[in-house]
Amino acid sequence: MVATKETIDKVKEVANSYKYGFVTKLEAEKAPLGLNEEIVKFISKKKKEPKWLLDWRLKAYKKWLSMEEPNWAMVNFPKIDFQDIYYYSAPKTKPKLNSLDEVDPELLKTYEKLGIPIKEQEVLAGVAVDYVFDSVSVATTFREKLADEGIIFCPISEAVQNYPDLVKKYIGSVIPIGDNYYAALNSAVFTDGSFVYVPKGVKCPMELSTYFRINEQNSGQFERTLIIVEDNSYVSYLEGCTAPQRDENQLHAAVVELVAMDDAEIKYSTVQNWYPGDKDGKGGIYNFVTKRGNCLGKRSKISWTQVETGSAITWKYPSCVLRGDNSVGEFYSVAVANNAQQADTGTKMIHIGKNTKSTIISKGISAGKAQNTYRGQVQIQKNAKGSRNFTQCDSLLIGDQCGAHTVPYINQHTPSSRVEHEATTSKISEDQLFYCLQRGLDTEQATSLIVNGFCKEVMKELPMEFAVEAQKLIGISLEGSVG
Amino acid sequence: MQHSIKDDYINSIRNYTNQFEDNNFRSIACKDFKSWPGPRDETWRLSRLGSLSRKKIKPIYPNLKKTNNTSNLIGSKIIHFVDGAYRDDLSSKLPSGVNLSILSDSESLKYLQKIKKSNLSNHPSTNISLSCTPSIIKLTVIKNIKVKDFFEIIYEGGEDSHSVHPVLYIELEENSSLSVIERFNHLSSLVMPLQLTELGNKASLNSIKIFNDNKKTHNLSAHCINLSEKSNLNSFSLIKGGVFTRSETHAYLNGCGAKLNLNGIYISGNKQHHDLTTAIYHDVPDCTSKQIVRGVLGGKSTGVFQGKVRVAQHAQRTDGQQMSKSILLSENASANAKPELEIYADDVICAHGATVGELDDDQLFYLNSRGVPMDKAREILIKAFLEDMINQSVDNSLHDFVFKEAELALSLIITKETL
Repeated sequence: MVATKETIDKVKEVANSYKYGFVTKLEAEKAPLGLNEEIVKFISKKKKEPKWLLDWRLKAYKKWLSMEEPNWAMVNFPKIDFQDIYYYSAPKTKPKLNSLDEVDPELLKTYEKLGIPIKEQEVLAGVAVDYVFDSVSVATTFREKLADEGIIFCPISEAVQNYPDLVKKYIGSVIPIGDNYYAALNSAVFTDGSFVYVPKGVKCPMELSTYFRINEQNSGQFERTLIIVEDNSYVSYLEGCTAPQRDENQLHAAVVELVAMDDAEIKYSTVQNWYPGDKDGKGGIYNFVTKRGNCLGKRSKISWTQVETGSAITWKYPSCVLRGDNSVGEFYSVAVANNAQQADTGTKMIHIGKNTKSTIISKGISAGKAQNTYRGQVQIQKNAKGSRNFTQCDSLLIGDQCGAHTVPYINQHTPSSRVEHEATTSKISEDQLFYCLQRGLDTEQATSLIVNGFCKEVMKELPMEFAVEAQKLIGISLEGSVG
Repeated sequence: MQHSIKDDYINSIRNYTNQFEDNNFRSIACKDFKSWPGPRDETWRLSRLGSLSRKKIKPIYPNLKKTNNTSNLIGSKIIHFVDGAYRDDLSSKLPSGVNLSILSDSESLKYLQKIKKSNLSNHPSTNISLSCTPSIIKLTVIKNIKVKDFFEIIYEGGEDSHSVHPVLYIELEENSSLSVIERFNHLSSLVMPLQLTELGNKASLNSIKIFNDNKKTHNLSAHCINLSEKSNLNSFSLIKGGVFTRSETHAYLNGCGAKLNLNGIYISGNKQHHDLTTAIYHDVPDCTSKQIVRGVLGGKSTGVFQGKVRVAQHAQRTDGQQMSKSILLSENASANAKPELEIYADDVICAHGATVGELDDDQLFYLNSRGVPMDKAREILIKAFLEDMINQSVDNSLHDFVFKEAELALSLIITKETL
């Protein structure tokens, strides 16, 4: 699709509001357009994958063909043409990189623009980063230091080569290939993503981080992340996403699987800032993501924290399966939808083990003409005696053109367990606004301040550097929504 | 000849409606019936009709010689339905200002069109009951009349392997008021009551429904309510009978300043499945809706509460509150709740809360430490859990009757094991 002069101008006009909207001019190697069995084989061959993985992909592809696109979410978008997408796109770089110096300078510039700590900054920030560009993981930092601790942090394509047993054992164990339409698609065509393995008794000494970037036109990003944390171990993982501004919609269908063994803890934080489309809803990323954590071990804990400001459409429900006795699941979310954005997001807490606990705090903010839906399920199964859930979802409406919706599902099968759900919807209180205005803030600043207060419970769960970024993001996302 | 519900049942209804013109309300309703709701229908996901589809059922032809079995409440005006048909001979003489009529075909068509405008248009009870009801009965309270006597509408009759289809239309004209208690005591396999209630400006209705059908009965009740300016509806449902009872109510707040209370209790034991599904639509500014739902579940029963509140874009200054609480008394009981908010206006106060669990340990301990034995303490707390709410929703004169009905149901599920 060629952008007309008019649309290019329009994109330029709004370019200031989305600072990640640039395109990196990199030569890319792409698979032919569309999806069929040959493409799946092509991707697998490109990745030099073993036969079992190819078979697994083909099985997923067949499953996908037999499935229908889900339509229960409160989002509207034109039907996606799955044959008009490039399923494989990789920056043409040297086959093997020994250090970051060998990375294409264009690419490095991209990361500078993204504000990602790279090279020296990286040491200061003390964050190990895996960069996933379109479909391919470009570089992973701090690997040696992590390896000293026995921690594996590498692109999943490398893990398939180097640790096939681990990958084979866990991939698809939390989210089976036929789990849902987009998970099946991802299983068939996933190209890269991060792999983390923390052995027994190791507290990961630094935050692990991945930045995802969709660059190529008409390409989809299908990354797959797998994190396994063994007994008594801990890891904190951060994920950030951006994409260039383009007129057409791009598809992002990721799968994230977490496995926590006895006494293990995984903290997974996301700041999602895919391009949301322009004011009229043109362009933007379709973000259809399946994320699920399996609290397999006793006293294990998985905590999801997400700040969702981007994407034209978000369809995302990070969930916890609380299988181990006394395991804990947490979900903290801020979802901001402005202009024509549509977000249908929430969580699932499936209590299977005894004395399992879950907490859900969700804050939804709608502005402009956006629709923001919380959709969550809490299920207490028969054997989950003594379990506990607390859910709170609050929605804030800014302007009378937007919508805020709450759709919780509660299924309780055990008398000794307790489920509590609370939800409120309101606008910014006139009193609070007046108070701020009186003290010299303008309406926009005041709104931003009040919104940040509204989200505080979630923000405090984010790691420090992420929290600052997230706070700024929310301010930027709501620009132009008041007055 | 008897029919299994899936195909033959519908075919027999089609055969019946074939004798009418194409533009008759029965033919239209029958044509609109597409299929039984399945587990893929979002609002029927938690209440599946699988057990019904294995039954052999046919619509009943009303037997006008049957007499009544339900003892009436003293002092009430009775309206009696047997086998889904209105029985003048068993009903009371009406006070002045209240009219009862059987709708003509053209009036019935208008009735159908009104229901079709609502979200009940595809409910099976809408299409099937309108196809084969004996007739649509309309109860009207004339303008400015405040009816002092309370009305009792008794639905009974029906037989095993048959379905019953009472269809009612209650209209309160401007500034009138009425109190109604409806009691469902059917013996049939399937009951599909359909009701449309319309409240004129400043009209006020107190409504109580007690679902107490036979233990083998499936009751799929559908109720559409339209509220005009400053009208007031105070509604309370007690679901305790049937093997499967689903009461689905859609209330449209169409006039500014309308007030709605939509409360309910379900008490379930054995293998009962009770479902209270409601939808409240705030379509104009300044309306209030409040909803309190309580459930007590024993045996292998399942309780479902689905409550949707939708606030349209221009329905500013809406106040919508909803609270549901369920208590599980048995290991094999389960409770499902889906309180749903769909809000398009910004100047609103909307909240919902839902809890599912067991009795509060602190409260139990309080009673226990004052010498009340554990089983007695539990009984006291369960009754208090319900009485508190019946006090709020039911008029004094009917309070004792409703509470006794609830107690009776409780006594069946509070056994030694559950206490």
